[in-house]
Amino acid sequence: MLGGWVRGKASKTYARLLERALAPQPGPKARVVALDEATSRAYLRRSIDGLYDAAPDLSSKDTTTPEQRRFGLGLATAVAVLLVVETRITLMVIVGLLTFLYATVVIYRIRLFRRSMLSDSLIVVSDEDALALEDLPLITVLIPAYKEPEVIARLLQDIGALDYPTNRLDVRLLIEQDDPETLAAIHAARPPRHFSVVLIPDGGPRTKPKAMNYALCLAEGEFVAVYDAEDRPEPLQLRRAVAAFRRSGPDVVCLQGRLAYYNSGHNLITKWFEAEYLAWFKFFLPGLAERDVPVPLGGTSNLMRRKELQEVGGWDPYNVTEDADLGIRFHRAGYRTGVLESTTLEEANSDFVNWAKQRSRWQKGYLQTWLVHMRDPARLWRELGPSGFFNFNFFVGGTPLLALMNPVFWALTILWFVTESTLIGDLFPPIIYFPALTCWVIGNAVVVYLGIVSVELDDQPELAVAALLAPLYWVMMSISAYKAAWQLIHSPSLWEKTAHGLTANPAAAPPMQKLAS
Amino acid sequence: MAVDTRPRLGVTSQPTSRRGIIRAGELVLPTFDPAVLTRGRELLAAAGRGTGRASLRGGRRFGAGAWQRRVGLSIFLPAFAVYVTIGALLAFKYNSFHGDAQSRLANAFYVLFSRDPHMGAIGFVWNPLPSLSVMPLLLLKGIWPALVDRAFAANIMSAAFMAGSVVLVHAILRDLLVRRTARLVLTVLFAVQPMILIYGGNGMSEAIFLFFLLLATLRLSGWLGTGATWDLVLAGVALGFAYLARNEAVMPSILAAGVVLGVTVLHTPGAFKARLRAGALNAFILAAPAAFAFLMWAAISWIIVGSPFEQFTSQYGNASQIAVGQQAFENIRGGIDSKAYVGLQLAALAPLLPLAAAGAVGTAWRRRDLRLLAPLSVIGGVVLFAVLAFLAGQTVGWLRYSVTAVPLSFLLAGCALAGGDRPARLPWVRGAVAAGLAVVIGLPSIGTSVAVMTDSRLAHEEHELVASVFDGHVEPGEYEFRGRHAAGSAVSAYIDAMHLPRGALVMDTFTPCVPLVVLTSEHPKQFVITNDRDFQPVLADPVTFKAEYVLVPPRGGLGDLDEINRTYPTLYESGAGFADLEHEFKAAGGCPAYRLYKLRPGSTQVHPG
Repeated sequence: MLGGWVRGKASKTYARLLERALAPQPGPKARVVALDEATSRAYLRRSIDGLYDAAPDLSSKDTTTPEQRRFGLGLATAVAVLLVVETRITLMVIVGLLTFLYATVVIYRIRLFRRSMLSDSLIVVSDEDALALEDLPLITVLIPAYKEPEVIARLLQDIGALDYPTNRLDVRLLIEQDDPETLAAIHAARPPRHFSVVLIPDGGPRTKPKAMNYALCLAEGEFVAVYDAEDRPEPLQLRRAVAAFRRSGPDVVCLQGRLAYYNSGHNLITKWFEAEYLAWFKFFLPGLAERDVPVPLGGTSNLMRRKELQEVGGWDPYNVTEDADLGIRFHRAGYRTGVLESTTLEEANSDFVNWAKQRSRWQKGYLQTWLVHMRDPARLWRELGPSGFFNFNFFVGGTPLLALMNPVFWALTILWFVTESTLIGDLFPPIIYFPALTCWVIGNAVVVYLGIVSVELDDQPELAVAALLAPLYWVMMSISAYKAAWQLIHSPSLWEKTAHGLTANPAAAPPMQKLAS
Repeated sequence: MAVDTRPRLGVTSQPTSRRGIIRAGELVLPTFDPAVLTRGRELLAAAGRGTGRASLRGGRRFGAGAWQRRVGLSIFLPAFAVYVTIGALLAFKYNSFHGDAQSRLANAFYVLFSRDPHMGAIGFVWNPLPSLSVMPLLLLKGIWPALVDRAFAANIMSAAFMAGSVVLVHAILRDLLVRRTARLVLTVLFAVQPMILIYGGNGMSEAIFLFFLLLATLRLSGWLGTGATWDLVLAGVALGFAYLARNEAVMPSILAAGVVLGVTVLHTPGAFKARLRAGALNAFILAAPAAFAFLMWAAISWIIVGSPFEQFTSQYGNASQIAVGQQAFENIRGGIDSKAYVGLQLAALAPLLPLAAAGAVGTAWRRRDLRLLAPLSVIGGVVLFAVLAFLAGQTVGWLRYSVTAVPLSFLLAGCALAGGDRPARLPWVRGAVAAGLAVVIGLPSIGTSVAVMTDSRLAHEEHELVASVFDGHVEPGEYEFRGRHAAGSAVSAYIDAMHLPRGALVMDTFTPCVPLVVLTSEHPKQFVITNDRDFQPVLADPVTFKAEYVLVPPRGGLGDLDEINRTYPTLYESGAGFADLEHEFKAAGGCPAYRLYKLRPGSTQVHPG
């Protein structure tokens, strides 16, 4: 009965399961890719432990190596002992170092921002060039979705709106086996022929990278594109990406599209989020690409050459920001990432709890990524070069670090006022304290100011007030950063799923043509 | 090319199968193959790029940068040489020092070398940038003491910033596409304008203020021409620094923000509300750094000395100085009506300013070019502020407060001669005409400025300085600038000879000769000065704090603002019942007759009288 819709040989259990999922749906259904059980199991194992088996020191399966743990423990012990023995001097040195780090990260960000502001580091492909392409390559589009039946109809519409010949497009919807609701929604929506469903078997960490690795085993396209279920890519995005690939050298294997939000006007949180993404995808990531240093990818809207993606081991299923990690791994392997001027709209988290879950996952992932790649700093230095090494540390390590450090400086400032400097004055001599305070105040002001400037540069003055109030957003970031640090110790691979559909009226999103620039 | 199969990424176990294209149903799995990881590098190497840039884009856009830097340097170096030579002549040959330059240098000196070195010692009566900018030079005092005891570090600082100002004037003219000969004529005439020569050499804060104003003008002009936001950012930052040099920067910041708001609203398409929003955002970007500098300086002042606007409100601030200085200034002014007074000053500094302005407006109108608004708002704003503040009685009318009229007239001349996008017919003729016009507009201001300096009413300070240099037969002490250093050194030499211990002598550094005493002394740590954190307790009870002497100026004029006179009004006359006169220094070179009192050891508690 599954005959025409199922490719490959289904085993009995597998077929039963499929049948149950498909049963309530009358009429024509979506194509489902199913494999025999042995293949499925082998693919599953490969998608879970492929990277770990081949290169355990590049996998986040173990968050830290024994050497890293020993080093961390040794450092903590040394600091604790010094704090007891020489409290004043130790505190001085710590605050001094933190101030230095903070100042360095802030100055680094200003320079990065300035660099990308003054040069065209975004890759721009005109509409004409994109439309004039011929001999388009086959692209496999991976769209993982988990328990979000409500977004399916919209997804088919938005992905279907991509201006790309359907016979060169192979869209794979990745659905977990225990998610019949989403599967049913797909069937109900009657997707066109170039859409198919890949059922991801149970087992191992239930993460997006695992699902994508599994689907990657089945991918046939020359390129692989990744979107989230609620994404609304600009219709010419794939064409632009192909044109950009054809223009650039063979070392460029990945293009990151720009991400923005369709519901940014919803409330202050979404405005902050939008202003942050703006700075991130318009200035920071292009700045990194311009500097020829590792670019942590942004999770969705990336288009990659499949062969090279498979060569570097695919995604790390144990890393909760597998996108960032993959970007670093590409660079270590000698490949390059570009940032494409083509926007994909996503749904911004409008609710604090949901936002904090997502953010702490990202921060945890950045910490994971930093720990993984810093397992052998000397080798990382060799592979990335000094510039790449510092940029990696400042950007991937610095981002959560800033969020973790901000409260320390706030606390110092508040203490100074509350105790009228007596306690602080006893602990820290002015030579340490005042530079720290100055750095903190000026650094904060500069970062807020750059946020406002970036809002102007992108012609979105309606975000200016949010950009001005950004320090409140940083409070939220710090809260989630500490949650992330705690989780990193506790449950490093736990993936806290972000709930979507919180914005009531998705129809209010701007029409796509507006973004096709 | 042989494939390097050595593991590069530390693979510890071999993959179970080779990589390959994966098809449904086949058990060929994607694996992590260490050998292929070198492929990217090989591709890069094959492309001849080493591990260099990704092949995403071509070379950098700014090929002109190096050339512009070279042109800038070839203007900077000779200008700097001229100004620093003037500074050296003033400091070493003519012993001519301006008290304000020394005070600002002294503030930096207190931060580093006083009995109580701390950042707060920089003081809050003056904005901090002039002091901060000489601080690195002061660290070299061990190598070259004249940097401090002749305050030469201040001259070097003003020479550097004034030379930078000349470079910026040239850069603004270049951006306006003023023809080369005319541009060079204007630049050179500006550089040798007497006011620019004097304030490039004499160590005052005019140079650093002018530098940041011109930087703001250059960038604002750039924004008006291209709309590049980065220019707006830099203009704003420059205005922020200008505020840290001088309070007057408030006015250009407000005016420039108004210009940015207006231009954006007029030039942005869309509904009025959206245009207003875009305009407000741009104006914010421009004004925020200056506002931040303003608020930060106020906050720091408030935290450290308890009042946010020391420069206006403190006993040494502008209001007090006006109160005590007004009468002296009225005498200098010699009865000239205040409107006529400031009008004459402006006419002397920039006699053809109206002509230049008319030409600038004409050219701007013809070319629909808004860049004229940059010098008008930024530089013109300071002139406007100087005039208004003087007419309102908020400042005394020193000629230097209007020094910005000089660059304003040169920049407006540049706007009048601005070139267009199209290549001109008869370029040679046009170039000659432009150069001629540049001479006509630029040259007279040199003559009139020289002329005004012979008039001690209109150009009191400058007349003093010029006369002290060119009048070879002066008695020491006849000219303030010339005699002050000798007088101050005499005081410090006398005190040094007493071999006092640390913190033995209390004095207020406000009156102009006291900083000189500290700067020229061999042992600056013997003094308890106003900038020390324990100044007030020591002053209230000097004996308990082991102070032995007090140096006090006579009352009257600035002497009334002296903290010691305010605390012990009868001390100078009679010793206030707890001190005995040790020595009275001769009034000379603008230094009044300071008296040195020895505190009676028996008086354990001194009660302010």
